[in-house]
Amino acid sequence: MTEIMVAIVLGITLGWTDVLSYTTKERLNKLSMFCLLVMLFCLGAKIGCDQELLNNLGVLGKQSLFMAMAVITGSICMVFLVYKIFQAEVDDAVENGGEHHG
Amino acid sequence: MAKSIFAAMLIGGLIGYFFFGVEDKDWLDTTLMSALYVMVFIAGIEIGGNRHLLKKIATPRSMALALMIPASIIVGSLGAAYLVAPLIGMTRPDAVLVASGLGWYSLSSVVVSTQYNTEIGTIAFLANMFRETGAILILPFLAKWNKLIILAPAGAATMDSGLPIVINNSNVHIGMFGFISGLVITLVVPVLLAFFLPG
Repeated sequence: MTEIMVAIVLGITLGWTDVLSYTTKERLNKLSMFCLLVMLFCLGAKIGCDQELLNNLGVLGKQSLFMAMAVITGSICMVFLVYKIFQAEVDDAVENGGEHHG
Repeated sequence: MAKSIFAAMLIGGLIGYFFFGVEDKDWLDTTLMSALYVMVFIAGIEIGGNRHLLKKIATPRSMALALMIPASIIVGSLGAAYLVAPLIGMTRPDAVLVASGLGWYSLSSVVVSTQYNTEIGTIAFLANMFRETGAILILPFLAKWNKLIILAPAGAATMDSGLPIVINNSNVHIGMFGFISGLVITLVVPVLLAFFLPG
């Protein structure tokens, strides 16, 4: 948690100083995508290598999967309601949401 | 993007199953966290590089929206768990306790298993892990429909592992809402867990 906060604050500070060129930002974005794939690979491997967890997947997995689906659906519905209330702000944020070097 | 996300997890899962053991978890964790820090750092650069958005988000209505998003995610998650509990063979208090993890599987599973019950702790781990990984998988598809709802699925993880994917599938402004939402949820999870723990 602390490390995450430090990482984002350092990033915001560096971004704020505006010293990075467009090319560097593009490269950083590719690095970010690479890190995402590495992270997902490790996440997958952590599940795959844990026999005890895999055994539990059969027994408790269905309950957990349904629970995950339910909470995801519930939160999406509620956020959609918020979208309807703040539609003008959200649409403005989507239209003029800042540059992204992707 | 969705295909590479799915492929990376699947390949990881298969390699983990055939070639790794539980003893490999430590270095996998270190690699995972290092990759996460780099991703969050880069997402921070994007946020900081858009100064005008930081000023824009500081208006009262924008701040209200920024707080309404995590509030609605919390209500939606706990409400859904309460409703589906009988359908999945759980008691309502247990289901709400599991949902209180809001995607933060490492914390919720440890707290629930040590303070309450190992079985519910395992469900807390699995359900919240499915929430985070499922969210990452469905995000690119949801983004085609509505850019705000992509902040909902990952819950607490919208501030870390979900953040780069949110920004990639929307923009930096929505990403800022995502970060604030994830941060608020992360701060609330320990409180919710303590509140819903029996006894």
